[in-house]
Amino acid sequence: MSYLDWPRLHFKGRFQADTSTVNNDVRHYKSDAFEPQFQAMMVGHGQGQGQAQRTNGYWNPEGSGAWRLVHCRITSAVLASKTITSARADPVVGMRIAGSDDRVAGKLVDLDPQQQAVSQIWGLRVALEDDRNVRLFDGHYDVGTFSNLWKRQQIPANFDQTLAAAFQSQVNHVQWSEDLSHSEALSALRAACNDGPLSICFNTFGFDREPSAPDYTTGVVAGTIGPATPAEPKHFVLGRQLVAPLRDGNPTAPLHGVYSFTCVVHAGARVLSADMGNCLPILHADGTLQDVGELSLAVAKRHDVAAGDRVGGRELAMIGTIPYQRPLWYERTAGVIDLPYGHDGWLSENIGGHPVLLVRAAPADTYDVLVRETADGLYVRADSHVCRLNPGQAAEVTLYGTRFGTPHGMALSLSADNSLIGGAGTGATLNPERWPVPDVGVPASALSYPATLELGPDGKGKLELSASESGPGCPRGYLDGQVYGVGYRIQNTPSNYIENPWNFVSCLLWDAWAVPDEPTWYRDIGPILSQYGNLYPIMSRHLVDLGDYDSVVKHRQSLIFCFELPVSDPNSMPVSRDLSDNKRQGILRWLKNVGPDGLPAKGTPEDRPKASAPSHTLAGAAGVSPQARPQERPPDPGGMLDYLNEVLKQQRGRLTKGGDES
Amino acid sequence: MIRIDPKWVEGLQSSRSREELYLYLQKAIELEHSTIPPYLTAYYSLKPGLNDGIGNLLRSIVIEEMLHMTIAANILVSIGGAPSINGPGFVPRYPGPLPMGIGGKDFVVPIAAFSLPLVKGTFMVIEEPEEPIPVGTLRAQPPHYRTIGEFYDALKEKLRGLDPSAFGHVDRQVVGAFSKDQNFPIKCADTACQAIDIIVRQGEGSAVDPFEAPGEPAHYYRFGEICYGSKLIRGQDGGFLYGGAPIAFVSDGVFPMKENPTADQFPRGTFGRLLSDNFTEGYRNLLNALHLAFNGEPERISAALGLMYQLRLLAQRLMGTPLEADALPTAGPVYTAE
Repeated sequence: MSYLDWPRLHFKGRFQADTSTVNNDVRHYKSDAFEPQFQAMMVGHGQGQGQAQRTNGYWNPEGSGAWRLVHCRITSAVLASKTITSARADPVVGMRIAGSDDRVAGKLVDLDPQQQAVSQIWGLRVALEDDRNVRLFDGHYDVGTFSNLWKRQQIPANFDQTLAAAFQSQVNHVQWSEDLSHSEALSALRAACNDGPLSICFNTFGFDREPSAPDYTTGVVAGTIGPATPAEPKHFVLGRQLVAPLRDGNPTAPLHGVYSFTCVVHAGARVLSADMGNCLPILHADGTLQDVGELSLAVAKRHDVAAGDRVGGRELAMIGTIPYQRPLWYERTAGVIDLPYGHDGWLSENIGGHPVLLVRAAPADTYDVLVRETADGLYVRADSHVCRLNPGQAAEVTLYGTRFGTPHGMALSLSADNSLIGGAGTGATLNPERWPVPDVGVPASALSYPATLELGPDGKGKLELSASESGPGCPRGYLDGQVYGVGYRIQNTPSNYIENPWNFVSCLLWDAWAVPDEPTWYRDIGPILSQYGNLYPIMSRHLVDLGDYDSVVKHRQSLIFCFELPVSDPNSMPVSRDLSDNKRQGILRWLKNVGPDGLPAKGTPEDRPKASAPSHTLAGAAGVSPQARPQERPPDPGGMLDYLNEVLKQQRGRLTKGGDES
Repeated sequence: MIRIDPKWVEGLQSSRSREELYLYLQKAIELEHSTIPPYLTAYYSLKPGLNDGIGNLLRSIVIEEMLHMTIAANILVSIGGAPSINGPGFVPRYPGPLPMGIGGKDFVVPIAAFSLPLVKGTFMVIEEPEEPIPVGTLRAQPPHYRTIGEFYDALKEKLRGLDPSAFGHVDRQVVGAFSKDQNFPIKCADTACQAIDIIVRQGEGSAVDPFEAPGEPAHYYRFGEICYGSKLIRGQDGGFLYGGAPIAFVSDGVFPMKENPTADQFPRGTFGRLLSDNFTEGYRNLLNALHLAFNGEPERISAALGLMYQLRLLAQRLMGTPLEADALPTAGPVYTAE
């Protein structure tokens, strides 16, 4: 079961992502070269203004990392037999989807400045609240990572983030209100959950990064909540996977304008449910869906139909049209649609073994295929695909193989895949580039995993990723550890097989660091904390100056409190969740070991470690003077889109050089 | 604290049962809480890095007010009561009078940025001892009304009159959030009275010594240090004067926050409104966390501490945001439980 089952609730509203942006550029981690203006708001932002001068600390240098649901309301409830869209029919419609009411907001966290495409929400609570602030349910959001990042907004304005993505996860430890009898939908949802978790997926888009705009730091969120079972994947739906072909290999640019999405066939009810909440292009930040023609879901009678083909109606079994241009359609459904197919005998018999297609009506009973289900219905995905590893530590990632949505045993190949990680983090930044950008994924030997993996008949397999005892060995010099991408592929896929480019595991491996018996500020702790002080000016300006011994020791008790919290706690420090266990232990030991003066040891400035440089750097990224940069402005200076373009450019460079990732 | 509506002291004195004390302890919690929003706002309004001397004094007072609130709540828990911290009316309406008629019925406490007149005209009135010890040119006013000191004295007497078995519920009390010698479990009348003595001593000092601990003047005198710009010291003649190390006040080092902000300080749908709502929601969450902490889940105090950090960030971001573009004054925090 998942949010694509029944009963389900749809909601829409806004979210706030008050992320700090100083850490978007990896070079800002180089503490000995950090400049005060890197904590300042960028100058000359906005598209098409032609006056950009400096990226500085980008669009929100004082961000707190908070991630909140804002003004989100239930827009409809869908039961197996009916859809409810008014509060008169069921009071759940109009109720608020809220966050925590007794602790701080959740946090949005990048894995690393060189892997910003798997951002996660930590410490979020998800609750349903009525007008009297009574909570009908309240639970803990399991850390969710966004996926299927693509350039969804077609007309950029101001400084909108035109990329969109979806977060799927579960809400655990759900507390239900004793009395749900007034709401049929809630009673049914609780019964379907059977004391288990809820499945939740929400789509985020239209994010506004313009500091003078009313919607600054907020975007639109539309999502779905349904029943879940602990046994199923948390972060994707085991279903029919339609994967969009890409333009020039760019993972954010679907070739035919519509992105990848998932469907589920409910064979018993003879209904196909599709989640189109993140795949349809929008015109503006408000989410107005672009008219891309009359869209339908269909099943191909032949297996060799490809996206981009124009096919005759007789080659398809039509399931139903997508009324995405109907007023309030998206608002009330978050893009999830149920299409019965029992009317068609062929479909009833064959839907389980033929590819599902998204087609657009063309003249004379023909259809253009925009997206199709993977070849032979084969698909594999890692459930949690983000790992943070201390030296000597191992992580287990569960992989699920399916064929036409059904668990399917298969053989996988695993190999390094750094194609979507790396780079400076902000793309062609407008800050002067005076120091090198580290390369990622090196040394490869620090992360081990099998070259192949067999998924059993239940479609499941456990991939163990192990960090070496010695760790990566500070390959990036000025920031801890290294990031690695691990690709997993089905062996012997058909030649027309299209992969989802986001299906790889991202790992952050921390460097080995021996906890000193008697840590001192200058030698051990200052270098760690002052880097955080540089990157999160909101802390240094308003709470504690992490680069200043006196300020740090003055707030000793508060820091002990925050560094001791479990990382799952939204108050855990650092907010970026990028601190190795040993460094955390060292900081705590230092904070707690006070000398006769009642203060942690300071040491002497001479003990300061020497700044180290990355051992592997990206050719062409280092030492380029600002004057030597092209004069034209990138389309999204410092932004995710530009960052991805840069990563892709570098990747192509690597490939043409025959690969230099050893 | 001076001037309290006599009905509270008299009512307390005439109470006859443990259950009747619940109301008065609840009132004590509300009273101790009621000073936190105005003190906190003044503290938040000091720009980071400027006015640190004043900031440290304000911070120390706010923390002690939180301790006092904790003590009152622990005593109520100890004798079997259930503190109510997130109910309607728990947060007083600002600007407005404090609970129990503190300072007299015409005494109005605002939510305002730090200023010397605010400290002198409001905070020192709130904290004024029954008989202030003359400091420098200050002279005490003769007391002719019921005082908060009397209220706490009466409370101590009533607690001593309870059967020892009335005290307990140690596992439901919040302990360890402050230093051990100040935040200990309330197990009996003695520990309850010791804890109340801390409230009174930190707030008012003793009748002969304005210092509640070495180098730590009681609240009234700490505010005096701010007003007179110098640490309180004992003079050569044995008297007290504000003549120690200077406590500088940089008037530019205060956010120009508009007094008594309200929820509609920004129109709906604006970024400013989001910031404002975030603060109000954060404060409400803080009260919810405290309510849970004093109603059987003491470990929730950790979430409350976390919220305190977030509230400071949110308040200062608000105070740095002009109500109208490129103009003064700036916005401020709105405290309400509703």
